[in-house]
Amino acid sequence: MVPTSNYLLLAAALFCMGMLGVLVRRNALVVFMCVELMLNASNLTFLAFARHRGDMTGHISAFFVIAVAAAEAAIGLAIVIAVFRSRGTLNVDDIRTMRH
Amino acid sequence: MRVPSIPAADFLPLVPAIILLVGACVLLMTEVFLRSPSRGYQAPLSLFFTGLAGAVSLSSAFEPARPVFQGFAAQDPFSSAVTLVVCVALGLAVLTSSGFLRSRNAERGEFYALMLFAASGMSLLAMSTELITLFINIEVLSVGTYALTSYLRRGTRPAEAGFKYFILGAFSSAILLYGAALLYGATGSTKLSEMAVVLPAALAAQPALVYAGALLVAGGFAFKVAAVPFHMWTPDVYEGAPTPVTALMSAGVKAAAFAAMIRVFLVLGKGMDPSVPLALFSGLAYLTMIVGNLLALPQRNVKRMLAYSSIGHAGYLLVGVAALFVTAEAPAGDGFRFFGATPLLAPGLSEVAARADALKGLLFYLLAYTVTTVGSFGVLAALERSEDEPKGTAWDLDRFAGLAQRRPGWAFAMAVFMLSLGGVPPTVGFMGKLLIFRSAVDTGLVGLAVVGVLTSAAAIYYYLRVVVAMYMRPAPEDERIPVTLSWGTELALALSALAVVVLGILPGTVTDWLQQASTLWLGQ
Amino acid sequence: MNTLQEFFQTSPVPPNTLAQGLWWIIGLPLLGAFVCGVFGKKLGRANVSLVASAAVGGSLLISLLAFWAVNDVRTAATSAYAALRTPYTLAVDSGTWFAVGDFRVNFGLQVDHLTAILLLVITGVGFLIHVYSAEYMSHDDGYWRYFAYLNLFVAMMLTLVMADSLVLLFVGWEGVGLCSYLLIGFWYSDAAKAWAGRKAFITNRIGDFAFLIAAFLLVTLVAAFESQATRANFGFPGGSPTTFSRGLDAQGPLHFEALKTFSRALVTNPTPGGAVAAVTPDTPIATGPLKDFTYGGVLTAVLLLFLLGASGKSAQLPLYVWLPDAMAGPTPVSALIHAATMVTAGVYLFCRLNFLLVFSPVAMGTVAVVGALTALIAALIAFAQDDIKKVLAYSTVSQLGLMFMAVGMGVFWAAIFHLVTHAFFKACLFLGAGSVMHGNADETDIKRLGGVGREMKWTAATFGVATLAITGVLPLSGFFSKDAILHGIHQTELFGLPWVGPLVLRLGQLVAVCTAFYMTRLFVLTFWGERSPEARAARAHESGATMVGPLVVLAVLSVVALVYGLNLINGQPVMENFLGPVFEPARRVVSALGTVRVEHGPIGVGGYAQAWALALLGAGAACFLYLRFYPTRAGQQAPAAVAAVRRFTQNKFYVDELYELLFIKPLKALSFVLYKVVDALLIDTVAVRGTAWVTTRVGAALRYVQTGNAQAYAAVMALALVGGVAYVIVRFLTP
Repeated sequence: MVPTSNYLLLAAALFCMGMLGVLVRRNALVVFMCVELMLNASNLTFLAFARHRGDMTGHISAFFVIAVAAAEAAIGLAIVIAVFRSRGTLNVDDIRTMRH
Repeated sequence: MRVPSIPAADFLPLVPAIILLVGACVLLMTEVFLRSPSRGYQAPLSLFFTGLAGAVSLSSAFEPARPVFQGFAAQDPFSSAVTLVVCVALGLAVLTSSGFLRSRNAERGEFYALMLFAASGMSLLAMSTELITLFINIEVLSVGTYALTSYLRRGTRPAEAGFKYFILGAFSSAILLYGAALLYGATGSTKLSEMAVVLPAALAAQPALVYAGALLVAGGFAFKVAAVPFHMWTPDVYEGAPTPVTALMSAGVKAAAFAAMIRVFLVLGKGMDPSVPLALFSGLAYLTMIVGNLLALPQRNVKRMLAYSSIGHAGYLLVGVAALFVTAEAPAGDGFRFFGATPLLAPGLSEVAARADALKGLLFYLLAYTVTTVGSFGVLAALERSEDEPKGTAWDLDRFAGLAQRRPGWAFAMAVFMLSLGGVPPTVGFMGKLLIFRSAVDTGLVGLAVVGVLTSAAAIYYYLRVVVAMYMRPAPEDERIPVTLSWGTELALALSALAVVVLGILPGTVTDWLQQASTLWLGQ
Repeated sequence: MNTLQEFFQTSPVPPNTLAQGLWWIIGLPLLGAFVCGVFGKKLGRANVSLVASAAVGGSLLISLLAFWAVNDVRTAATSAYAALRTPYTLAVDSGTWFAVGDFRVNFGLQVDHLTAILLLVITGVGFLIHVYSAEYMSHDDGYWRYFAYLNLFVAMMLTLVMADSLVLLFVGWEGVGLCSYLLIGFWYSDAAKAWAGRKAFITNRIGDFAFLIAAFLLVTLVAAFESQATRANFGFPGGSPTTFSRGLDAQGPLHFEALKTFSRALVTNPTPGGAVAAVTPDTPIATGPLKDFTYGGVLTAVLLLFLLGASGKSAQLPLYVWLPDAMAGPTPVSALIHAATMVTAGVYLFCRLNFLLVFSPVAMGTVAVVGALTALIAALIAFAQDDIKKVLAYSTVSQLGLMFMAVGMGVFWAAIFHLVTHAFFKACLFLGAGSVMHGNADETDIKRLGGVGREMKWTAATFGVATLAITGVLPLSGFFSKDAILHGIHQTELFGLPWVGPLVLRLGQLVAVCTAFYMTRLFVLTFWGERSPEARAARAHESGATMVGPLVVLAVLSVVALVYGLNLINGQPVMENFLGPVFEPARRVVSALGTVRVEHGPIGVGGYAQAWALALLGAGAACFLYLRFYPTRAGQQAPAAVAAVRRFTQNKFYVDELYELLFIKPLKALSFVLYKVVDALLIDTVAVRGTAWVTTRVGAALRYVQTGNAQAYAAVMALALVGGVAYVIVRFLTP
């Protein structure tokens, strides 16, 4: 049986990758996908702990998080489309009219 | 496994949120079924639901605290007070929205529906006592405000603001969720009540897990309340969002997020060494007060200035939050030191009394900040011309020049709001600052009080600049004021200005009520 | 005589009834402000001035009744903090204002002798200035706004002096600051004037925050005292720890009675053989944020903070710079706010807190030295000013310095005496200056006036009387009040600081000479001699009756106020006797602690002669210089002499140059340097603008961190979190 710590490490690695992705990727859609990666890393953590403790709360939490992530994806994509329509680009570096 | 039955009484505390949700659905339905081009009824309709929700939460404000839904949420005076603040913010924002939207030909039911949805999320967030419930409610209010931020389709600003808010908001939610997962791993539960019980043992076993989890959760909240260094989205999003939405965000979202943060950390603080949250919130408060106010100083764009000032105000609120964690006796071990001394309560002050004081200060400050900031954004909304928005000059200080001659009423209201934000008596802002700094001094956080006082002295400068522009500079010749007058805007301005002055001179009734509510909640 | 005394000591209205009506003193001007502000445009000019003047007039009438009532032996207020009655005090408590935990503030007013006398000054001078303004402002468009502000100011000033707690006093304190700001910037279309208003506001804010911190410290101090004091501390008639605590719960720690009881309990000596008081000024504080500091030490800090607060409001070093600029406002405003009333708030504050001030010789010495230095520097700067209002402004700063000297040396009654006489003659001077400007096409440069006295006889006469009063010529009130200050200082020695008294006294005498000099110069250049060829108006015209009337009344008042200085009652000056009950607590503290040593002695003829000689020296020097040697006047009125005239004239010219070189030039240079270095550079540029500049620069630099890039924002958040997590890991995962 795979020890829980392995799952946790994987989740932590995924979380960090997602975080880095948010910081460095230039395409708005990819940045958005990286946020999803972070959410899923959290899910994995919940599940690993739930399995470790034999507790249902973590499993249920994961379902809720998935549902919330879906809702977030809907609004997120709508906003990304609005950005593309107003500027014709999805490069995060260019989306900076408002600053200072 | 037995399916637990839920007593019907558990639904009672949800009534304000349910009213808001029903209201939102009704407004959505009006768009589907009523094809009349005139939408003047929508604002009063939203106002009706808001008022109803506020009245219900007020009526239940003195019921003793009790957990509902097996500890997933709680009904207590604290949540009622926050719901009330949210309803005040929502009501005033709705009032300013109608004229604002009509002049842009953008009045639709879904705008109000989104506002009501977001407000229901805020109300529920204030009563959540379980991490996943909390996360979901944060998302409910966030998704609503993401959509509202990019509601207008004019120019590139709304979409950009929505995008930034969404990306950073989702990023911070993910961080908060990961923190929640770590806390769950350490304690085996996501309910705050159960976590409080096992936290000492969990701390002994896996301190790093607990502290890292708490830190990440704090980071998520710090984003929502716009605490430095999680504040950078604020000016851009506040600038790009439609002004009434900015008003709702700066007041309602902040109130709800503060409520949830206080709830979570009061529980976590009981389990861990209280000096840890004290250090955390004191540090955030220092940074937020100083950076927020410094950034506001050079701004000529009034909307951005108000955004930065809202960061500064979050700093003052954080002073109150920090005061919640000071204990009567020095904690064992190497506690948090503050200029070489551990802050302690003033003599003769019990911990519960000190916390009740701090909490009362916080709630009063939230109320004070809500009426003031929503009012000032109301003036801004009334003043801006839609054709200027793409240029970004719509909120320049010059727009305020000579306002006193052209619109004495608006100018007076704005002057009142600016003085209140600056904390000049006899306004409500002064009373709020007095309460907060007073409990900081009582709890020995003198450094925070001093920095607070100094930064608000500096803040006077940029608030006063608006007053000076309105009263002491001549109006430009070619300027015209938008004539899209609406009763809603005028009423909102009058009400908030009245509240600012009346609550500033006679805060007694409200502070007494908040005192009772805080004592009732903490004394359980 | 006895009948007369009885008449004045029997209030026509029962004191308790009057106490209930005290709110009307504030309420009437507030109502007036509301009516003028809201309906002013529709009411028309005549009605606005009528409403505003009537409101203040009504206030004046009630104030007169209150003044009468505090002399009544039946008048007494019950103290909530000890079982005793404070005689000669009207008090009304209107219940809770707000409560923060166990900290409570009530709405309440009190009128004792000190407040009563200030009430008369504020409403009396205020009423005259309202009447005067009716004509002075008759051509201004912002007429209604002006009267609304002016009424609001009077209401706020009355709140300040009638407040029965520091908190309500602070409301008035901020309120008068706001009104002053609004009125200085009244002609806001002029950028310089708008900036003057802002400068006043910002400078005042610095002081206000010191005030707030001091008040916070006091609250903490009283709370610590409450928990630490024992029964022996309350070993005075009516005192008991439970009564004190009950009082704190009922009316809060910032009520003046609370502070008075606190000061009394702090110095209550242990009875021989009885219990020893637990708390004395040298006791360290046992608990709370101020732990281990002594009570006396914290009090000193509180008083020094109050000094900073007071120096903002009362234009003392280092915060006096706003006052000369404040002359941008309409002249009646300068007369009321920046001469007679608001600027004296700092003096009032210390007199109100007399029982705290005398705890600390260090604080007293600081107050006195700050006052003396301010008085001297301002007087020297006044030498070089050519703007009539600027001279008067610096003169005000200087006179306020004299009052601070008196307060600092513990001669409170003399400070109040000088406050009252100064209110009369300085208001008269400012209104006179306004009249001069009114009649000379708004000319303010005294070098471009001259000879005005011929056309404006009334103005010249009243201005002359007031000049004599401020100069301190014998039979006028200014002489008595200034001499009361100097004499009081002469008799007083601060414990541990014996050098302060003589130093301050010498400086004070120097200031008296300087005052005589610059005031005479002002009068001579403006009203005497020939009309300057550069004058704007060829002929001056006298102002109307509503302007001259107040001038005459004020001139008369600045003469008859001398009654206060005569030794009529029990061998004491009237004012000292009258204010006796107010400063009784301070006397009690002094006799217990011995912080101040006073040698009582009457003012001898020698003292009078000395004072008069000083005044004459300054005035004579000014007359000599400006009547005989002033360059533009020289030669015009050459004495009709005989053969050697020519040589003499040349010689005179030479002397003139010499004077110029030896006296005027260095003095001018000195005052110019002082003005430039201290005023313009150090305080204006470095302190006020410098701080503003640095913070604005930092803010401006910080804003470029805000790049607009969402990923940069996320990176900052991530960095903060990673730092936090790294700290947690290092802290908890390493053994």
